[in-house]
Amino acid sequence: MGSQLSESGIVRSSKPGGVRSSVVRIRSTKDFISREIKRIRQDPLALSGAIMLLILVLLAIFGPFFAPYDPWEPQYSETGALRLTPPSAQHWLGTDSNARDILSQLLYGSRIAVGMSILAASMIVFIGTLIGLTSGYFGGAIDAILMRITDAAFVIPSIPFVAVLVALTRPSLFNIVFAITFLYWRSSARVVRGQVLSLKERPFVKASRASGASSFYIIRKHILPNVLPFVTFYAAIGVQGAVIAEASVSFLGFGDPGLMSWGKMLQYAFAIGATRVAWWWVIPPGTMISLLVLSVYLLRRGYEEVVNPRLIRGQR
Amino acid sequence: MSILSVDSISVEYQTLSDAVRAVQGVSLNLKEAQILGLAGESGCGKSTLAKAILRLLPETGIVVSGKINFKGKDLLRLSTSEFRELRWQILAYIPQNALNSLDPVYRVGDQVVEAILAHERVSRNAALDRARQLFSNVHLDERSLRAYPHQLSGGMRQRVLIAMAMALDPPIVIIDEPTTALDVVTQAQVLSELISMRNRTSSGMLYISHDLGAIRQLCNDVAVMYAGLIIETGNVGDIYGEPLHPYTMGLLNSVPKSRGAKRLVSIPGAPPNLRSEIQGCAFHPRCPFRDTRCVKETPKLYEISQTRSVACHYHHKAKNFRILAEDPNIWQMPEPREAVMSDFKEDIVP
Amino acid sequence: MTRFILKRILQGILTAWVIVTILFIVFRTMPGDPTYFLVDPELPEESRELVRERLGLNKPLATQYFIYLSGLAKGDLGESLWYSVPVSTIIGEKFFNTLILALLAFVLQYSLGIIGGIVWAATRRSRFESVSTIFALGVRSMPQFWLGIVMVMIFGVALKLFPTSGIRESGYVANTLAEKYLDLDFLHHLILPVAVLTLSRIAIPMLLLKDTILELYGEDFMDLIKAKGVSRVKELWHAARNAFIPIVTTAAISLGTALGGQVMVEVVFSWPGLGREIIASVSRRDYSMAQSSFLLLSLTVIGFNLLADIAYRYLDPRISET
Repeated sequence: MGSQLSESGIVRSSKPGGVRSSVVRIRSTKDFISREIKRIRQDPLALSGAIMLLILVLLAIFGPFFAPYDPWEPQYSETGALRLTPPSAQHWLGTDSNARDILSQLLYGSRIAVGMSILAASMIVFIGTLIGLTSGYFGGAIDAILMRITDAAFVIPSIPFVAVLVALTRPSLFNIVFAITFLYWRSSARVVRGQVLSLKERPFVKASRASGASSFYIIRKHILPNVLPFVTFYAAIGVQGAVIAEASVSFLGFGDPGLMSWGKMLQYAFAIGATRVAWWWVIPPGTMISLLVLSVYLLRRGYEEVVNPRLIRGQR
Repeated sequence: MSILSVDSISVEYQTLSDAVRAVQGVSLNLKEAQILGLAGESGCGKSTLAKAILRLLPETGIVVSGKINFKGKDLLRLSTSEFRELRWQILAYIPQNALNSLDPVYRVGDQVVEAILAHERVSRNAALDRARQLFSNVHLDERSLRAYPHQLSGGMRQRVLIAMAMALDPPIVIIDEPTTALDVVTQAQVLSELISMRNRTSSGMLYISHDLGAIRQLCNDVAVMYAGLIIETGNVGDIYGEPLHPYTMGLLNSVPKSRGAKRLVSIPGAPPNLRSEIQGCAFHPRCPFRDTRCVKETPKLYEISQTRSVACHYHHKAKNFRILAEDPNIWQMPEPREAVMSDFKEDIVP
Repeated sequence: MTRFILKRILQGILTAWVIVTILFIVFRTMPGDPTYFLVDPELPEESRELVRERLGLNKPLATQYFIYLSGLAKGDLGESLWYSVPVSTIIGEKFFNTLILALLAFVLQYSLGIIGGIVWAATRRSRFESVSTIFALGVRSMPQFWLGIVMVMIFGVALKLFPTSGIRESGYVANTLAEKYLDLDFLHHLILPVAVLTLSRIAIPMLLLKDTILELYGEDFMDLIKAKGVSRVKELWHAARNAFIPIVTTAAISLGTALGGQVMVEVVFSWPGLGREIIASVSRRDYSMAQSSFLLLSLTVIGFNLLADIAYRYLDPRISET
């Protein structure tokens, strides 16, 4: 098999020392959710991440209503178009080279960033989990083929590939999300598969099988809830990856021309050459992207232990 | 010649929400060349006690009261560096589960040498020679020195730990369930190594185990622990021949005896939750001989003689209890039969 | 061990072939006429047809595929439609430019990161740990291209310490390898992009090492080491030595991901590397160039993964030779 590696989590066993076999069995989705809430409440870093994320989501939903101006409208004063003005009382974040208000752009952009990343993460997780479940549970030839494809997906440089895929088709937001999904399902698929493989051997699953439960039932009732921690972990990674990928792809010029995303803002600034001086144009969008990614990082920090498979020790 | 005197030690594990009283007011005395067995089921606090003595408690574990005396010094009051000097030279440790206890990326010989060099100014070669000798004492081939832990069998690894513990000829050795993770045949091998080690040295040993058979073979004296408390002490002959505490009787029942086909009996129920204050005798919910006094009044450790003590209000009825305890039906009672106590109406001594 | 290496190499070749095929399909089905840039729109359609035929674009896809594969086996990467020279003549230098950045940043990232991680683990006071963790994760969360822009703003424009783009001053004629790369001006141009790449990702090994070491302190073998009474430094070293194993595992995958993302830094700094070339070629519909650059990058990642697998087997004595 190819290297079962993912960047943030070590999928193949690399944990030295013994296996702390504190493998908790999760009984249902509700069980999982309540565990999660408890964990977040107890960890100050995760808590700050959760608050940050909540603020950003609220910003995404309600922000555009509070935007002082239309982000696409050039702004004028008595003297003429307000091109590239630094922050002022009327424009808290100043204006860009087309005289558009930057704060408004920022607020509208939040909707794109948050919405798109959640959508992409859901799709990544859905496909990754589906493939992981199928591959792990049914094994055999299906498993072999799917894993070979995943191997290849691991090796392809992500950002260039997404850029190419988007350039192939129209540069629309949906295509960007689709391209991101196309490449990023690999990590979750692999880990879910590993977890399914180990779950298959656990007594409560074997008992279920012995008493004649259908595959579908077993997957739904026993395997899925126990796969949830991994699924959420990779959903988090998916959000982060999608945000950065969209910003990067937009920055390269392949973004959706009709949308004012944070990456697009930076692309304009860079293309014009304004990045040398217009700090008010450059700092805000980048900071927002960083905050969104950071909030998810803080939330998923506590997960590394659960997902780092000491459970899947030493298997290639 | 007491070399280690544990004086009313209490250890708690503090979590965010509550505290677990793992060890409550335990006192022990270890003499030179004495092998003291510490028996009890999982979770009774014996490992915690060992870790407390060795200062290996996790961050959540705190010694809330008591003293641990060695040659007049209270070990708990020593600074980290002072204690570090004592480590291994005075206090050695043989942990359980040898695979997890040895560093996987270092050769076992080097790990033994490390223990020596940490405390003695000798050359590496001299230390290696000593390691070689120690290995041969436990019947390990010289080649094993260069092996990595995973390359050795479970029994061999455990012998490495035994050899390592004796490296500095310490007066106190704490042995924590060394045979737990092993199969029966290997258990016997390791036990025989421990016995020959006992015969070779004059170190005092605290042997912690739930394996009563092993304790009987290795130890001179025994202390039985339950729910963080010592509930009976005595020498091996007394404890195994004439146990005084119902719990000890139950424990002994669950050890298969070589002669006679006795039915194995297990004690129903589970040990109490150590998070809450325990009312009365800790064992009373599972004791077939309990009565209202046991429910309300916590028994202190009654000293029967210099070597014998027991924490039971009715230890004077032990003889009768022993007979009854052999009947498996007694142990299945959810409620104690009033009739049991009334059977001894004539014997009751308030 | 040798058998393992051979097996992995074979797997690598298989994966490479899968990628070649995927890339071929992706690039050849690109909408857009590659001859667009080559032929004057004023000219009649026939000339366009001629060009197409010359480039072999008329043949069915399957035939093109086999031509391409056989060409690859011979080392022929086709001709760049934009540069009008064989791809193989120019791709080498671009590859080298990318590698220099990537490897230098990687070495810095891991050496400084490991030292930093160990020091971090040694000084574990909870407030400091929380704050520095947030800081490290914060930098890690920044889009690399944005970090690049910001650093250019500060160090290039405001402080005027470093050049803001390119690989050397224009107008400098360099012919030999030494003239090109062992040159102060080149080094001066190298500093900022390498700094961005290193800074952006240094949190990965640092956090991993710190977390792993601290976790290891709870493991059973650390108990025994403590019980032996070794010095604190030795204790730390035991933990660190064990912690290296996951570091190596993640190092190669990290390098692979880094290579993929490096395109952003190359664009920001106008660094003439493989990543920037991919993007430029795609925009120009120069698919020989784009495809080859892409393939080369992927092959590099495969190569690094292979090295990591081998190194991992070597470092962890528990992995037996099966």
